[in-house]
Amino acid sequence: MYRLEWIERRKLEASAISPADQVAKVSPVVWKLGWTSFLTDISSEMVNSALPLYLVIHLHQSPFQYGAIDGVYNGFAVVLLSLASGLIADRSKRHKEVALTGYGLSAICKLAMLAAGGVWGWLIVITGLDRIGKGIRTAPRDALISLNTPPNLMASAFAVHRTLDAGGSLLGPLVAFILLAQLPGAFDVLWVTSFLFAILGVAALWLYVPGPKAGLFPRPFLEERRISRRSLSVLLTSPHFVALMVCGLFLSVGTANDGFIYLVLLKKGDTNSGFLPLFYVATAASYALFSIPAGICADRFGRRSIFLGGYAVLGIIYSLLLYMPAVGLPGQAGCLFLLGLYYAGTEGVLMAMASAAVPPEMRATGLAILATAIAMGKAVSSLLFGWIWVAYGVHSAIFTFGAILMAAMLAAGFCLRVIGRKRSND
Amino acid sequence: MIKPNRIFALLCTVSAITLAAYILLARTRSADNTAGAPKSVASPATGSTPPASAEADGAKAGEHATPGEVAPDNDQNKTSKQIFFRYNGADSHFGQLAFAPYERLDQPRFIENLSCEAAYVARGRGICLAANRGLFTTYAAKLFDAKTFKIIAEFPLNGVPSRCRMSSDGKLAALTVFISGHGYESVSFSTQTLLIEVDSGRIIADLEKYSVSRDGQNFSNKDFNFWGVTFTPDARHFYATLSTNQQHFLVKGDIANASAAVVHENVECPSLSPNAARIAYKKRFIAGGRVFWQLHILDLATGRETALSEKRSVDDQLEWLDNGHVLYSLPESVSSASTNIWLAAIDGASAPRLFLKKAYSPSMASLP
Repeated sequence: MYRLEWIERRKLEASAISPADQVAKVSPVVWKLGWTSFLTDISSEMVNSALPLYLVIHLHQSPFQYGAIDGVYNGFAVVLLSLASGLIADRSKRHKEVALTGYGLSAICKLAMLAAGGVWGWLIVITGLDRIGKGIRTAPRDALISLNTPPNLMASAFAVHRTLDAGGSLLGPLVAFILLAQLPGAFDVLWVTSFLFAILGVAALWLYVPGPKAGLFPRPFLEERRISRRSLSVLLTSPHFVALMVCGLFLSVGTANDGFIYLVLLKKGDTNSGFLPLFYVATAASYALFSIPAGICADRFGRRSIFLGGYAVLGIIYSLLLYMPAVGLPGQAGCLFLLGLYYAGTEGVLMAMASAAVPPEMRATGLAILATAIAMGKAVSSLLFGWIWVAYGVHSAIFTFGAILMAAMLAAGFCLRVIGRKRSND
Repeated sequence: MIKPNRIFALLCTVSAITLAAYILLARTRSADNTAGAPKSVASPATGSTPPASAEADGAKAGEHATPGEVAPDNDQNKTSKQIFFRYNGADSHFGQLAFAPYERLDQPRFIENLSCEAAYVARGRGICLAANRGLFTTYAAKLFDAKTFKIIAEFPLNGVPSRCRMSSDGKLAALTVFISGHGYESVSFSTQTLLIEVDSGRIIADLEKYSVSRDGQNFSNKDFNFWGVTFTPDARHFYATLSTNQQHFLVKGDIANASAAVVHENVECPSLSPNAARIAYKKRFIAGGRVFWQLHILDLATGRETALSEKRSVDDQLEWLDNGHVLYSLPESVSSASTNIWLAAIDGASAPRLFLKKAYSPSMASLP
């Protein structure tokens, strides 16, 4: 009887607004931030997808040198800078301006590609700066999304943003391909096009997105800086935030890097590695497709279950990789489809959960800390997967990761449930 | 205050115009190159002076070369030789296999049906590593008859083409491709090097399956990568680079035994001289966190290394013009898609000189 009542109540709640309303209710500011990311991602994925070709085929650099350039992408400095940008955004309450700095830096980098003209040292510096720009902008932008969204629509808002973001990374390689097919070897045209898209992205942010409203923040935080230091320690001792951070870290350790999953799919399917870029595009397409439905479901039926459901999908991918006898084209497509679904269920939803756990005056810092924890987890996961792969073979690696993921999911499920109950009691 | 919509619309228009103008510029530029290409190889070559396309380069080549200084030593062979190369001038022949008699490098003939990332021709047979550019580029190896240019055999490649070679009898071919690591995230690169029987198009060996020894001891590592094969004149052995743990060894392979032995250290992309006495290669140096390569000659009998006079970093597998001179490619300018072929004497004294413009992957093919 009790159970029936519960279902009835849920039905009533759910029918209050339709899914379409739920998306329509997402603040226009979030949509504009989404379009900014859309334009910026077209710009950056154009460059990223063409860079290996540019270096290997065009500049006749061997991929072993390309490895050196790629290494710049995972710098320690980037992590520190993203934390700093979060703090600065929170202290100054100028999230928009800090994000603009990051977007602007990446835009200038596209123009610098043109100026560098293939000089090796400069290419390394530019890709590094571009990465730093991304590090600077992410936390204040996510804070802006959450600060412009009511708590009950948090996951939908992140979903809208991530859909546009993934849409951009879907179109970027396509634009690059069309340009290079029309004008073979004209990489300078590519850099210019990328720069123009980046400028439009910066302009969209600058012109259309307002800064966060001062009314959001409790009065004393606007004036006193010392308190912001205290609120940092409050944040880091808040059980809800710490639980999210630890769960996120643990789960990301059990998440194999996309690159590894693609490699396993290529090897198992005996597929030509020329199709690898298609894998990225397929994943982005699936991510863009499922992001909004996953966000809506998260807001309606509980973020925790959708979040853990996303990791369950990853678990399914692992078992498919382990137990599927031969991976043909349908198998590969299925895995990539599921990979996009996993992203849709986890990435934006986690940010939505974190936004609910971090007070507005510390939002950018809190999201930056969480993103850093996850980046660290990913770095450990890459090293671990690579090491197990080389030492014990690919099946052992997937099996180990399946076990880690299972343990992390059980722990996260328990943790988040306890925290959730506490909060509802408060 | 102007409305944001208006500013944004203005920006979009400006961007569209800029892009259109830039694309137009790029189109006219490639048209210019088409007009410029024949000119650049127009100066006639005469007598026994090394090919004269260098003269078109004007000041740059003039700095390095005194005409006649590096004349090839075995004059009697020259007449029977042809040079095959990948043409990479930015015009309609871009990427096509081309060939010219040694005396008339300024009059190349293009093979329209063979566009190659890398190619090699020996004794009436050739190998072409081709890219099938679609939405997603795939690669294939084509083995062809070097007189009719008919394809003998073709098979797909597992990655981006890097090097290819043939034995001097034209019976065996070898190729290296880069597999994996092609994406955005750092998954380390690896190479695959295959030996192929030309007439059947059959892959006879993947070097990673070879048993390798070093100082008589069995030598094996998970991170073994092989690249840059060069065959001995009898086509029963070959030399290649073996990389492991950031070291780069020269190995000598025995095809019948499927085995290889380490013979020297820090040798990449070896190329055996026609008399099998020396190996020309690129030697790896690291300075300021950057890898660069200097060309060296290894005397196989004495183990002595000699640096060539070329001081720029060269990432190429060299080709021997004759027993005294080597050919190698360098980008035309830092950001150019075109490369030029340069000529250096192995004495390490005389300066390198420009040999052939807008060309890559040369092979000296004696006519059968």
